[in-house]
Amino acid sequence: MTSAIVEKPGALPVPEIGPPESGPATVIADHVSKWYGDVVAVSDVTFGLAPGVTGLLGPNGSGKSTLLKMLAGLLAPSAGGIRVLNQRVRGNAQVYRHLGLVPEQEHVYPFLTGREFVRLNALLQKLPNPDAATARAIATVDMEEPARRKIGGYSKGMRQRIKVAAALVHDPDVLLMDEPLNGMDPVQRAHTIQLIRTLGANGKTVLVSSHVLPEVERLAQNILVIINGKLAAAGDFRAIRDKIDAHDHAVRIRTNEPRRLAAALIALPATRAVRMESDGRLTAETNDVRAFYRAVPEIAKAEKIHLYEIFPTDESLTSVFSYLVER
Amino acid sequence: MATTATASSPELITPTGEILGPPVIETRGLTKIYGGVVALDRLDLSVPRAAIGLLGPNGAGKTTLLRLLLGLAKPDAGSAEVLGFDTATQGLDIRAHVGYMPESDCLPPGATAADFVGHMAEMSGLPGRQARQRAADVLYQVGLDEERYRLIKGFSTGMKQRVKLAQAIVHDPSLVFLDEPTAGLDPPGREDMLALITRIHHSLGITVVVSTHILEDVERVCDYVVILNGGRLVLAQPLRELGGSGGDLLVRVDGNPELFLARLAQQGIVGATAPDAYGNGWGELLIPNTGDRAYDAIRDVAAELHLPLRTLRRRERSLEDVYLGNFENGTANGNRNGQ
Amino acid sequence: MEVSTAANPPAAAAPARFGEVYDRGYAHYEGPRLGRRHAIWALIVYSVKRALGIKKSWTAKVIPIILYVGVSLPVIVGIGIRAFLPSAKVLQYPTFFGLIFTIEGIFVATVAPEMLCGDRRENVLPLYFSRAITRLDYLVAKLIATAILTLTISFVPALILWLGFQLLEKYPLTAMWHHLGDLGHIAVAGTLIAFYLGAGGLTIASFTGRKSVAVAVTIILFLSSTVLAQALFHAVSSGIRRYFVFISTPQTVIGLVNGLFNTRSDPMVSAANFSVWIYIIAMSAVVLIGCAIMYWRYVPHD
Repeated sequence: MTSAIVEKPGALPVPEIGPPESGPATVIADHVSKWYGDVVAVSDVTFGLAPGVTGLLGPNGSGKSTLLKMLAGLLAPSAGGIRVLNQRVRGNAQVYRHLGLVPEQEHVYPFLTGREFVRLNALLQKLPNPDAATARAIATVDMEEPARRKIGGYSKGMRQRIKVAAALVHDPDVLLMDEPLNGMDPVQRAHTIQLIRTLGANGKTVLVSSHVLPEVERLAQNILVIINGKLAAAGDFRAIRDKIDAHDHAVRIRTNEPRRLAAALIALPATRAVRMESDGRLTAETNDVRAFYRAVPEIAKAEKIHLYEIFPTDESLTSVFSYLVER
Repeated sequence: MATTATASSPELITPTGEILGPPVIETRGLTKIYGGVVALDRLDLSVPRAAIGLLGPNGAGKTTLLRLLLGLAKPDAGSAEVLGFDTATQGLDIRAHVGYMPESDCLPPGATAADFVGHMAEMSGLPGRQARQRAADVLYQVGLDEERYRLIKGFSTGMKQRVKLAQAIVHDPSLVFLDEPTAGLDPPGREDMLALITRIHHSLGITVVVSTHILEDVERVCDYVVILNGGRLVLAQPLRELGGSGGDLLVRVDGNPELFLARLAQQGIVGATAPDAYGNGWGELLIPNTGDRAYDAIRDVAAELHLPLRTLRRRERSLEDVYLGNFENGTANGNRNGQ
Repeated sequence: MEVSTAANPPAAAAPARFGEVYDRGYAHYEGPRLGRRHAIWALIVYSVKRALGIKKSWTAKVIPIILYVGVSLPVIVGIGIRAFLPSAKVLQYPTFFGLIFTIEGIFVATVAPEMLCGDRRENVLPLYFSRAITRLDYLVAKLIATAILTLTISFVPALILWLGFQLLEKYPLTAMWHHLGDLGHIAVAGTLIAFYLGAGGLTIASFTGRKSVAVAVTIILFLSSTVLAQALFHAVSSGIRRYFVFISTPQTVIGLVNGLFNTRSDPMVSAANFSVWIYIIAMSAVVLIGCAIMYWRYVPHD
């Protein structure tokens, strides 16, 4: 679903990320800017996040971390406002009942055990049943056994997971996570990605900031891209790709009769180029994806050519991001 | 861009996966114990000249293995050879021909990149003049222009990673160990680094061993995989051999996937929506791979329904599938060493 | 196309134009590869340069420059007085060594941490050890580099002073021959002081990555040791108190120098009444123990 503009009563329209059926925006940034003297870190960023998982991306120094800090209430915007679950987020202790943070820095106490650390957060949140909540959170991140040990002895990946458990202990509706997979080994990564997806499916609003784009592709339904302090793109990354006109789409096709198919494809107005690769595959370039993808099976069927592979080679999140950065 | 086929290496893995030539790393019964903890447990390994991905949970023994292979520690049992040199007795020879790019911060902020890399070159045996020359060249090759004459203090993470890489290859090693080379890099930096690593291996002919937790990076850059756990070898194989064949077909169509599936069912082909996919409006489907019959049916149904057929490919076992398959029994919390 | 016939000789072929693209890419290194000795020498030179602030900012150079100036002043003044006021009392070597002790102390306190702390703090040690050298090689290089530097502040100025005095004589060569004994004593004193202070500073530096901490601890140790020794000396009245002189760095040095040149300048040293050999042994012991400790800190690491 591409970004839909949603009218909010009495306010300017806010581009809303996420399928409309998932509910109204839970996190809203309204013309948010942040500057330090002459340096503009974040410039007039506006968006609304609906429940589900959204990826926050941006090169180093793009203002992404500053934005994340403002969303978490750790920094005040220089202009504009941020509302989480319809409340102000800055200087509002109440909002943290429903907001969980997984920061990038290692702010954990090495002398506490994992369980004690999570329980500490449960107590800080004034939960009615801290022990049960602690046990549940620890089970969610699969850390039952190591929770008995001191955090000082944890590997980096385990420290990350205990931070996630601490952020989940009060079952917040909104979760902000900064590089949550940092330091985790592949098994931990897979589990955490699954956990994040499940949280999103259960109606939580999860914003994950990460540099590892292949993983963001798997865990986020939508993305927010910040470049140079500005919002560069928002929404489903394939839809974003479609809107990038500067680059023709490259499609790799494997077939039993490449030359014949190539000849037929080049006749299409949607086709800009067809190349024969050394391994017998075709790479076609098109600037009209829908027409192209519609035409390929039709032509193949008509010419009785087998189609074994159709694969867009520059539609990955990695490609999309690199195109966005260069604009 | 990203390709699932293994990179064809001019080295000694042929396109059919055959391994030629002497192994670049070989261990026999390699054992190392640190204060009661078995860090390496009778490891038998034979690694060809390739782009190698070294995987495993923290505490699996990767760091210990590296120290032993560099000749910085002696095994408690067994033996190991790197580039034909014995690690227990010929450590200096090994280190003269091996480069190491650590994960941690290890650069002096008060030196210029050219100065430091030149010094490292001299420490690896290059005479002074050649050392400065090589340093300047290599820094340029890894993408640092006039920045190489500036103090490391002002460098971004990406630039620092490049300097670390430069000092690892400045003495023209035959083998380079890279520890989490993309750590801390933003997406453009990651792309650049992965491209550099590929170049180092393919154009420069240097064997690379990449130790990382990011499996997608290994799929991108490596053609051989070694997985360790609890000091033992779990798997050591060319990446190509892990794929497996005959997987389901992944199909992505614009428009109504239900209609597509229904039409396919009419032809006797029963597919389903892919369980993992975020719909987002594209239908992502898995169709059983019954050869030409399935391929043709997909083609024909798409044509009949005038649906854009965005993706059609065989779903091969990814490296993650292989890796997770080997760690099924809840060793997510680490190995016996309790990491 | 032109056809050449007998009547129509071919025009001179157009000269082939020269054009070549050179490969600027990575070239494999085919040159000489020198061994450990070259690497150790390279590390010595690099360490000496960095300790003196060469190739670094001016703030890094300031302190060494001031110290070298400071140590040159007595030399210049001493030679100057001898040259222009021949009747005035000549600067004695023991006095000279006493004068420059503080400068030597500060010099070692800044140079020794610079040798060791930076690499430890900035985590560069793994890079060095991944090179074709051993851990012992690294330590030896650092020790030699420190020795070279400390010699320049303790032995060399005294040597220049001696040379200056001899050259001012009517017959310099004879004078040099006459005063060869002095030169010998200067060499022993200068070298031993250099190694003694250097080993002390390096040992302290080998325990921390924080340069400022090492500098502070070294200076405090050098300064307060004399206070402590004096206090103990006056507090205790039995014969054991003579051994307290070895607690004090300055006084140990004075003891050595006085012993070599047969002078008396310090009451506690005189009271202790040790022969020069005891001081030589004591200072050498400190050097050896320091090296042993540093070896333990750096070398064995399976």
